[in-house]
Formats: sequence, C-alpha cells, structure tokens
Amino acid sequence: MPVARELLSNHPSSFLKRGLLALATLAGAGLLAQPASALPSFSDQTGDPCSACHVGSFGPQLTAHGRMFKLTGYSDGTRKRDLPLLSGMAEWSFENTAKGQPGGAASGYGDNNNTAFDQISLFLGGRIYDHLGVFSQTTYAGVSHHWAWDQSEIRYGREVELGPVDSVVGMTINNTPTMTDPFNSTPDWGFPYAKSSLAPSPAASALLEGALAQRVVGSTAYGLFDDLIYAEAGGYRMLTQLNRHETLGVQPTDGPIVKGTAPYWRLALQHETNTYSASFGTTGMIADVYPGNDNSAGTDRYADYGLDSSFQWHANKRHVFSVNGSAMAEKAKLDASNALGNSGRDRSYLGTYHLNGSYYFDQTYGFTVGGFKSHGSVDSTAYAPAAISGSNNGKPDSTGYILQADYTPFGKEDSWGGPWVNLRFALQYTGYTKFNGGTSNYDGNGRNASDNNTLWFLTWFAF
Amino acid sequence: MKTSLLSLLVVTCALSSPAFAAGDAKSGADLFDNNCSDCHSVKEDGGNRKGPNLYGVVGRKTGAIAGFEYSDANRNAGWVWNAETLDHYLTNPKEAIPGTIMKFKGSLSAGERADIIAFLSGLKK
Repeated sequence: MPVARELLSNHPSSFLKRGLLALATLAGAGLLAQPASALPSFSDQTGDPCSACHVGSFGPQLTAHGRMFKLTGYSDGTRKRDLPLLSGMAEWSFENTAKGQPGGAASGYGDNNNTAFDQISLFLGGRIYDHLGVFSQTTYAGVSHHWAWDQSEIRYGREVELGPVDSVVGMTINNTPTMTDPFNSTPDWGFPYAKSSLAPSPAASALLEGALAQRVVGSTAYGLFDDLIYAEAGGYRMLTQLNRHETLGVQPTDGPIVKGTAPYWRLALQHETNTYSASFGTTGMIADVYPGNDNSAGTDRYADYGLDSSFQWHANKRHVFSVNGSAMAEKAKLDASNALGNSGRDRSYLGTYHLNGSYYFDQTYGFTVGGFKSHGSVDSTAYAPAAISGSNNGKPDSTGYILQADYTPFGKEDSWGGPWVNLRFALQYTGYTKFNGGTSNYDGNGRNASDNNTLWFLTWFAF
Repeated sequence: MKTSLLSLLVVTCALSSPAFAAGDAKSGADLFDNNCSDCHSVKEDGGNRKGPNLYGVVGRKTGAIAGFEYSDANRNAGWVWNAETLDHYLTNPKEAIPGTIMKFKGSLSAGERADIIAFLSGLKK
C-alpha cells in the first residue's frame, strides 16, 4: 500500500506506523466521521445516555465521566452493541447578519437571511479492542460543497498503578492539535461548539486555534496521575507527506505547510470532588511553516503558548454550571512571509482570549454567555483593506461576545429513540464591538464592526 | 421463598442498626445522582449501563443481573447486598472486591454512604 511512505520512513515507532496506516486506510475507505456531538455509538457501547458524558445531553462539553471515557480510549463499556461503531450528524441553520454581505455570504447564497445545510458527518466511534478505541469523522461541508476527513484519532488508554499512584496512561494518533484534550478550555473543543459557516469572522487567530486542523498527523502520549496532573506531549507532521491529502479532501494551498515535526505539549492540574471539578493548565506548540505552500524563501516560525482554566459545579445533575477560559500568546518570526511580500513585518505578536460561562437546567435547557478578544502587531500587508474580510488600519484586533440559548429534548435515560435520536435547537447571537482593528469603517469600505453582528438558529441532529 | 425471606431478614436487621438508620434517602438521591448515576440506572426497566441496574439491589446477590458482564470477582464474591456490605464496598470497592471493574474510588464519607444506602433501600416494589 503506497501510503505515507515518506512520513513513515522518518518515524522509528512501529506503533505509530501501524496507527497511521490504519487511520489513513479508514479515511481512504470513507469510513471516518466529526467532532461536535455526543456519539450515539458510544452510548450503544456503554449503555450510558449522552447526558452521562456531556453537559446538556449533547456534545462536546464533557463531564468528568466523559473525560475519563475519552482518556481510557473510548473503550469502556460491556454492553453488546446494536450497531457497529457508526454514527452520524447533520446541521441545518438560518443566518442573519445586521448588514448583508454584498455579492453573497458565499457562492450560491444571498447577501443575507440564508438557510444552509452546514454539514453532514459520518462517525466511526468506539472500542476496537480492549483499551483501544477510535473517534473519527468525515464531513461534507454544505456551504463549500466539499467532502473531507474531519477530526480523527485512534487512542490507546488504560488505568494503571504507578507505584502508589493511580494513573491513566495512553497514546493517540490524531489529525488535529488539541482534539486530544479532555477539557473544553483548549481551542479544538472550546465554545462556541458550532457557529455559522456563512457569517463573517475575524481574520486573526493563532496557529494552534485551528490552522493545522486535519492538515497534520501526529502522535502524542499522555497521562493523568493521581487524578491531579494531566500531561501530554508529542509532535505533528504535515499530512502532505502522506501523499493521501487529496484523497482526504485537504488542499496544500488552503493553509500553512509545516516543515518537519512541530512539537506539542500540554500540562494541567485538575481537582474533582462529588460536586465540582476544576482545572488549570498550559498548552503550546512551536512550528516552522512554509507560508502558502511556498518554500522558496524558507520558513516562518510560530510559537504558541496558552493558559486555560475550567470549572464545573453541580449540586446535582439538574443544575450544572460551567466556566471555561483561555489565553493564547503567539510570537511569530515571519522571515519567509516578509521576503515573499505576504507580511510587512519580520516579527509579530498575537494575543487571543476567550471566556464563557454556561448553565444547564435538567440536562435540557442551556444558556451560555461568552466573550472573546484578539489583539496584535500592526501589519498592513497581512491585514490589508478589503471588503468585509480586510482591515483598514492593519490591526488584527477584534472584540465581541456570544449569547446562546439551546434546547436538547433527547439524550437522557428515558428519551425516546435513545441513544440514536438526538437533537439540539440553538439560538446564538454574536456581537462585535471591534472587528479586524476597527469599530467603524473597519474594512476601508465603509463597513462597521456591528454590521457583522449575527443571529444564527441551528438545528443539530446526531444519530 | 426461603432465600427471599432470609435476605429480607438480613436487610431489615442491617438497616435497623443505628449507623445506617441515620441515612437520609433524599440527600442520598442527590449523592447518587452525582456519584453513581452516570454508570447505574435505578429505574426498574432502566437496563444496564457501564454498571448493572441498581433497582432493588438491596437483598440481591452480587453478580446476579442477567445480561450484565460482571467481573469474575463480583460474580464470585457470593455477597448479599445489604447496608453492611454496601457500606463496606462503597468505602473502597477495589479493596473490598479485588478485581472489580467498578471505577468508583470511594470518596464518600460514612454519612454520605449511609444516605446513598438509604436511597437504594427505597428502590423496590
């Protein structure tokens, strides 16, 4: 099988080789599936309702029980399955922005008030063997009309005693930095858990906040020691080295290309009691990147350093309060981008911040309030004036808030059709007080930040 | 019939001891919700989850729910679940029955265990 020859030849670990081959084979066969939801195939395996692992009975916000299920390799449970590992998900939504987007919100869509089939996903999720499991997603993006593999991992994890210390140790092969994390305070599983595919979004984000998602393949090893210390470390390499990126729906020119291996690390302290859990941690990655798939001028170097914290309190399961916060600092050496004319600077800084709090009643009715902010170095070349997406002053600064109310009628023990019928209705409002550096005429074409305020209604199925 | 009467007698005796009589079933319901309900259903027709259904657990033998894949340790323990054995087990499951697959690590106080046992004792026809 001509899979990953170049990449595999650079990795001494036969475990990694077998895992990469398995992951690529599954993806190539079109069996891979997405992230955003509780997987009914997990419930089929455990007998637990979605509400056991997810706050509000719908993914991806994890309870302590859900975090342990993930860390032990999605393999727990002794129930005889009804169906083999398969699940699905679909999102249908209505989007309204305060001011329409001239020319259409996307190809084939009107300026405003659009309905969209945002995505359909197939999942492969559950135990493959003792302590070994898979979570894998393949997604059809309805707006861009494009199939691609989505968040995917094969994970081995088990409980062990290291001397007097109760521990969970494991290893994962995956395609998205931070998807392996058990907390909802790191980028991949952070709030908002779903958002409009058609609404404008700020131009700047750190590399670790999604730029490498599904474009890399990596392996990390992790451990949770004495229910107190969570540590994870590993590295990611570019998917293009597998020579299967086009099969997986990934185009090299769609984003940055990592040179060599980008190291990733994670360290967190957690504390759990009968009624609350809390965590505080750091995460980071250093990556040498060819900008825009152009290697003629060498690489840029990105160094991302994050802090995050989470808190969950539940006197009982009828009332669950959660708070998640994160801050990410990115320092970039842009030698290649500067030489290629993509950036007006050879050094830059970007800081991003997220804070959100939620309350769920009866595992059914949810209310979430969130805020976000980004600020960084002025770069009039990278952030040039352009209608809607550009910046008039070259600043990557954006500030805003998100309000969400949602209703999840299924996913509990007595729910009709459980675990295969799951549904969430969500009404989300995103407001901007600053967008790409400005409040008024931020893009140089007369558009104000508040013109991008978005009302979004989502109908979200998991089956 | 003899077995049922004997179990009932054992349970009644155990529950009548001062240490367990103090259990508050209402508080036990919340404690169960937070500590046990992710893995155990307490509804008569609730089925099994990662752990076996606990409806009517008091008076039942270990490893007795049909269709649940118990560890050999639980299946062969030969206990009858009553206030005393439940309290002993919930204090530290892995020490009480080495080899059990139950993940609970025994983080409850004696009073909290009594409350949960009072709650479980009320789950019967």
